Amino acid sequence: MNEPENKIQTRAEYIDSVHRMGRIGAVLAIIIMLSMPITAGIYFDSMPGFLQVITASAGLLALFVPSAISEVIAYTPILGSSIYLSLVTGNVTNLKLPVANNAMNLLDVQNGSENADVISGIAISISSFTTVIIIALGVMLMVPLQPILSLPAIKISSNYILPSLFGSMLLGIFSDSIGGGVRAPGRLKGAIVPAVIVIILSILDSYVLKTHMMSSMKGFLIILMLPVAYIGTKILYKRGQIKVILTDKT
Amino acid sequence: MGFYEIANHPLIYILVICGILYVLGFALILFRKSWKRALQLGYSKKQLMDTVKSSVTFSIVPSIAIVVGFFSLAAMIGIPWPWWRLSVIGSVIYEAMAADMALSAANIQLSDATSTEFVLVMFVMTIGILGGLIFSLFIAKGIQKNVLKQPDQDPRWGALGNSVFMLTMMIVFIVPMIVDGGVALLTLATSAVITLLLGIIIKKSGAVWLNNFVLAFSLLGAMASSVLWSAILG
Repeated sequence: MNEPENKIQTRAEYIDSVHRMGRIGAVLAIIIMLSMPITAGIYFDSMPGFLQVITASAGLLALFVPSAISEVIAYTPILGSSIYLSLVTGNVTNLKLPVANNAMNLLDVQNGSENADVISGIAISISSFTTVIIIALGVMLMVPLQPILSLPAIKISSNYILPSLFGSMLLGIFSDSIGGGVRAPGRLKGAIVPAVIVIILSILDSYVLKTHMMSSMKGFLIILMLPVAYIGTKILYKRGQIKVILTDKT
Repeated sequence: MGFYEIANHPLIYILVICGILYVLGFALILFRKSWKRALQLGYSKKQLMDTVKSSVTFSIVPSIAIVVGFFSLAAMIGIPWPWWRLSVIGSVIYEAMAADMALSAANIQLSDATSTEFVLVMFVMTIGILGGLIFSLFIAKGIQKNVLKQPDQDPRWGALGNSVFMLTMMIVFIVPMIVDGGVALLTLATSAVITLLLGIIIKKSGAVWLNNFVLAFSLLGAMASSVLWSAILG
């Protein structure tokens, strides 16, 4: 264990301070984001009317605000205080969640712990740096890169990032290990009911109603399935159907 | 001034570069804070450097996919604004949809669009996605405090209960891919098989360093396989 230079914060003090930092960072990001169209509008004397902005935004707000809110509820327990930077830098599902999960698995960190919060913070900040740098390179090298990155093969493979990511993460589901050296044999029993519900909804969506709305409803679905999985797991744990084995590490 | 004169104007570049520098600063502060705390919690610098390396290698491929999306968006609304939007907050899918909805909601024809209409697009794309970020200011801390409290009350249930969040997320994402079948399912299976094979190689050869790259290699291999599956299934 490293010797700290200053007084070591308690867990509560650390969580308070990292959320304070995250909130300030998020508020400043919101101000910067809004200041861009305002500055452009004033500088070019091209400010659209307030009503025009609201009218043009209404459809987008109706579509994205509910799902954005449900994503905050669904992803904060996994990402912890990194949720602020994750939301500011975006690409939460296809980048931030897998990168945080990968880092937690590498260091065998227990989900929802302070350790998970800290490791997610490192993974998400590094991932944000990488993305920003690669996009900047893409902008600078736009002329030579565009023909290559516009190849049909690249476009097709870009559409399959999510299955490529989740396939690799899939194996972790079947493991008894839940991080931090803790093992929970039988934990998948708690996932049976939500999995059956999602199967039924997916069949309805893809083959019966053919609405194909599931991909835009993931946030809602997680919120709906969480209590089902959580209560089911708790009942099975209390009945001894799911065991939890702690080790010295915990 | 017309739509594209403003869309590629130096001022927009300056605003975007300032914004991106701010985001990098925010990421740097979170990194330093998390790194310092991780050392206090007993992690070694080597463990943390492994996490950094793994996070970098893993993030490269999805970031290149974002650049692919940037090219299609740049054709629609110029270079600097999509650069900003994709460096922050939005995913490629959201930004493409938002730009399209903003243009059609305001009845804008790109061929004769004005500077005011470009600023309108900037406003709409910004406002449309702020909901989650604003909401997080009020609720994220409370959610995390509740999650952290659980293991204190019952360490066994706390560990198990907190693992349910990740499990539920995986079910919601993976089950529809399996039900839908086709290229997505084959790509999912390819990724799982590559991960499994790499796990066996690591176990047999003792090449523990390879652990840091399992997700990145699986991602790359599975994405490449999706081209093959698409060609076979048509």
